[in-house]
Amino acid sequence: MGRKSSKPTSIERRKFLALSGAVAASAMMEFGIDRPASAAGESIVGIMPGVVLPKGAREIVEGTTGVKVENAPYVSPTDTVAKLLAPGGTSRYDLMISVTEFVKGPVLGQKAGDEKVRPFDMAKIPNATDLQPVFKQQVQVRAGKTLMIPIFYGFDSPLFRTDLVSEQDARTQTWGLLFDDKYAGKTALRDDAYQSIVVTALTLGHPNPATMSIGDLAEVKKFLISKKKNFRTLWTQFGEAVNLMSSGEVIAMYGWMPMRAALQRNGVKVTNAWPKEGVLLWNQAAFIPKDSPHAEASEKVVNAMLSSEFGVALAKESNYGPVTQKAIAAFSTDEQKKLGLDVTTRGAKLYSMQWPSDMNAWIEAWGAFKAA
Amino acid sequence: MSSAAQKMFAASPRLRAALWIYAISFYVILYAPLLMIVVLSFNNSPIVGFPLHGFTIRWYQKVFATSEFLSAMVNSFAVGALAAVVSTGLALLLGLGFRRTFPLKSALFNLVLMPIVMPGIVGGIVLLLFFGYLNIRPSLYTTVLIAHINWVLPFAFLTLYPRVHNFDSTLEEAAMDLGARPLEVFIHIVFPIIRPAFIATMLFSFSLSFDEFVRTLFVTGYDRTIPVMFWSKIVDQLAPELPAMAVVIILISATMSLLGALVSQRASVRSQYVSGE
Repeated sequence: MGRKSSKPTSIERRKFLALSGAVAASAMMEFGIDRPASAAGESIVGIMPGVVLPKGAREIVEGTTGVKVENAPYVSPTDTVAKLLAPGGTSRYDLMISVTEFVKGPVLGQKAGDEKVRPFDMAKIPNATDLQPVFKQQVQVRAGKTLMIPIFYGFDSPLFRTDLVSEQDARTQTWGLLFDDKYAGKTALRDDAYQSIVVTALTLGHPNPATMSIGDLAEVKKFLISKKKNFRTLWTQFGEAVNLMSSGEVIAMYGWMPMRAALQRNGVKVTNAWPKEGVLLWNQAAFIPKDSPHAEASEKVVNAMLSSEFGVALAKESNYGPVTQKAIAAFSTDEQKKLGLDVTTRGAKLYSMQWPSDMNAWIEAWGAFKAA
Repeated sequence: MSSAAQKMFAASPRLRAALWIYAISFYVILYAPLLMIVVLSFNNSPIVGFPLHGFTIRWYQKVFATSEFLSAMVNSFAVGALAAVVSTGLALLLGLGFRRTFPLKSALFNLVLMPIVMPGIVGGIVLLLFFGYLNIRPSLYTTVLIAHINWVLPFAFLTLYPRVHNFDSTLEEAAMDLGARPLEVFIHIVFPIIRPAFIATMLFSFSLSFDEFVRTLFVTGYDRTIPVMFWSKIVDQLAPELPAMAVVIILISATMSLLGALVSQRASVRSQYVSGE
């Protein structure tokens, strides 16, 4: 038959078996690696941004509740809603946290009875009484039942390099900084239809962009297209945006709270503007899918996330804002200013994110701008 | 190259120069981004990017000290190995079956290959809905493994099928004439000859599974594979060890692909030897 010597075949067989054994051992090892405590306790499956549970904050939540939070990768508010609304979604996940204004529509449905979430037993969430007034207004209640509770907040504002842009420049007091021809080729927007159109509309003087007419939206699109050459790029990821500013490729951009903190930590001279049109204030709220088999455990976790200890850890590790008064009070006035935790008390103009009247039109307008 | 083309090439310095420029440009465009990542992985700076601030290996040390990375690596290896074994086994069975003639053979052939032509995001959504209807919670060895097998199987089939299809059936007939039962024919005649191709397919399948991202993102739970973990790090934070992590991932993928190619080449030689070419 012409077969060659069996020795190489025997070696191949032994190597293959050895490899299989190693893989099997690895598979068994996997269960022992990087598993937080509470192996004997409950666990819940959650969808929430990774920044909600940095290491120290996770230890606080899991340590105080005995509940392990197994959070699946978070992609976006849209993806979160899609997973909730998909078949089996209301029972497959136990806790979700996402941008309140973006998800409350589909999550709560149009009328009572359409909710995809179950009400909280507020007796089990005593820490909710400590919510800051501005966030108490954001608690979603229907027919006397609490359905969504804010867990953390953030704000978006123009970030700029103070060594390359003078803080005395009047342009730093407006979102117009990002569109001004003086800094053409050195600014960046986020590649996001909603956020970029909102700040453009605010710059053009629309007091409430979410309620813009189609005609107003067309005007915003036209303005964006006329300024397209001013933008160095449209960033999409956290790391990309920070890199643009740190390298000086961009000296002013649409930015997040943690970006400022990350840049300052690395010695980059940057600050955020407090535009007269208002910084974009948003919060992310927790909600429990209505058929979750671990609702009580989820309530424990939510209560722990509203504790001052969690809020302090979150602010220090993720640089996002805690929604409770005690957590804010744990920071000195200077620390609050440095971390941006005084956004609700320093008298700055705030624009709270709202779902636009016609999101499809906004997405289309943004697409047209990018294609122009 | 034909002899006429060779003569033309030898005679024309301009043509030679143009081809050199083309070749260099091709390789620069292809590999310059990878080289840049390698350079940045040794950059002694907490910011990912230029300018360079000196040489360091601390990012590699950090990568191998990060339990999140090690855990994801184990997950990817485990899922990759299982997906490779199952997919290659199924591909072999399919390949053996497709040697025969049966009704709707052509339609079934295209059905097997459908995951290849389906966009990844559509595949992910389909799997999300599928597991939702079955009420299966996301986890590594259920939803993720099935998603990986679903993705890898068509490639494994396309790789293994030619070897199985072109197998000299007279060898099997000769063995059966000598009294061997079908299973004995497979174990002692067919499989030893196609074994290098089988192993090459497994290595290739492992590589595909290791790199799979889009579908996994829809069906994974808490346990991350390497691509999903890496993506989460890019989205959530500025991690200076990301270039080092990327280099390690590229090396693993490239090594497995190269091994698969070498074994596959050996399988071709063996196939020619057996067929007497």
